[in-house]
Amino acid sequence: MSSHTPSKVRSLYKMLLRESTKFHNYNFKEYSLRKVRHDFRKNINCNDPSRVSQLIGEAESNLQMLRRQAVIQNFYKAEPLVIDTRKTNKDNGLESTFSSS
Amino acid sequence: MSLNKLSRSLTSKFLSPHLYGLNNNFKRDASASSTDGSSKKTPQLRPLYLDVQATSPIDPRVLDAMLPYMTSYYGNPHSRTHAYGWESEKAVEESRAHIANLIGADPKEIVFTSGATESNNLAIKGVANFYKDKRNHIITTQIEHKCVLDSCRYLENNGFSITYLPVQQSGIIDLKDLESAINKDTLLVSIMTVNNEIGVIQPINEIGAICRKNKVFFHTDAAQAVGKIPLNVESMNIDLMSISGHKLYGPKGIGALFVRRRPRVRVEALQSGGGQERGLRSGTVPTLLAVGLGSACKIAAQELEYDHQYISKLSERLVNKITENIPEVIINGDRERSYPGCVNMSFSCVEGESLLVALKEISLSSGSACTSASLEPSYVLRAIGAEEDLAHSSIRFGIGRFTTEAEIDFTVERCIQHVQRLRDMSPLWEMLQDGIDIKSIQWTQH
Repeated sequence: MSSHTPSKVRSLYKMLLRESTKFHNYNFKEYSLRKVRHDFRKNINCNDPSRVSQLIGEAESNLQMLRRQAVIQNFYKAEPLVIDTRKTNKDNGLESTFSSS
Repeated sequence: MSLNKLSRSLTSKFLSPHLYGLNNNFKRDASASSTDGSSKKTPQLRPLYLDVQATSPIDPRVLDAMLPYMTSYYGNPHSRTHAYGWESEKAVEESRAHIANLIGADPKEIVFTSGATESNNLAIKGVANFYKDKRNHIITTQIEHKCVLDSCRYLENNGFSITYLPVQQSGIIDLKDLESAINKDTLLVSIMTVNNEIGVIQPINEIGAICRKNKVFFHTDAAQAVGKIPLNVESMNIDLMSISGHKLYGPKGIGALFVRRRPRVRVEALQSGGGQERGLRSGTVPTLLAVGLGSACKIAAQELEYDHQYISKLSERLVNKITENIPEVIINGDRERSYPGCVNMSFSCVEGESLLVALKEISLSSGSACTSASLEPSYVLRAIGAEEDLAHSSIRFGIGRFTTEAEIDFTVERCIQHVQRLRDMSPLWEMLQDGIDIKSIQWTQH
């Protein structure tokens, strides 16, 4: 494993989490956060260099997918869920002007 | 008996307008309580979704895989003369491989259809029509999906004899019944893997072994099972298997049928045309939907274990909290032998439909979506021997990959509140609390 890998992994982890929070859809956002955390935790002790580079590759393509999906899904926002607003009252202002319905 | 008649006459004469009236009252109540003097403009909120047995949302990863085929790559996968066709064909074949991999099949054994209903029709009618001169007996169960039961009824009108196996109170068939039902004319056994209403898992391994021993074809409707529980067509001796796209976070309008090649199962096509899908299902394969199903299967293969663990945890939380806080709750189907993502409960003295109306913040169903417009109690619950009143009071909770713990807690909270409220209004509940056996009451006939 090259010396710059841990910092690369850390920054990928942070970017994946940040991208996940961009989902307007409550369920997708929660799932994405949970899944990113789970996958990183599961592989935290992975020392096999080829496996590490494979995992980094997967994370990079997942990051691209999340970037695309967060944008696309947010074009077609639905009303927030009954459960959702209790936590995220703050993002009701600006975003609702772009909401599709 | 008379209660039964009374409820039927109520259904036909009064209940639907009455229900609408109720509905309006609830809406008025809700708007009155939500305004509470402050401001009239409250944001419209969406109910939670706890009905994944009806359909599941498309996973963003699946949509991401589909989008290229909805935009740039629109070629007909059957076009052999240009790149547009080749790239689509490649995508379809990759998807086929993902589906086959999930169920332990060969890609050549997968036929794309429009969904599990078509797959079930093709499997049952297709096999029956091909072998009708040799054998004409089909065995199925009383708790199958409507499309299997209706296909069987159609064949019954066309000279086939059908055995509808009963199920035990657990919702599971008795293997001895199956063995004794098989005779020399038996062509096909069609038994679903996971039931769509109560979630029970049939002993597919054992059924497969019995069918193979007796040289009978074995079809299973695995729409609710593929991607949720591990399945292998080889070790389970399955000859035909129906798969649905939108039950495993894929798109609607696509499904697949596994048709075994060795030993070969012959199927007569239902529709004539260009002979696509080895002549079994003519019509252009919708590339983008096929890619969606393939990608959903690929994800399911990776995440099956993780999803199952997570869903089991949520399911346990739901069941424990409800049974701890609400007395007289009956869980339909054997929990030990069920898929945890499908929880079917009956609350005694509470009408399922009233509870569904009251729980308007949660999208639930009292059973199958196909029959959700009818007020008749579910035939599945009747088959497991549920009393008429309990069959009327059932609610199905569907937990999926995207359900959260907070959603479960919210659902439980609302359930407790409304079951309590409805029971407080119910004279039957009062009688039950006083120790009167409701079944012993002689209702006067009108």
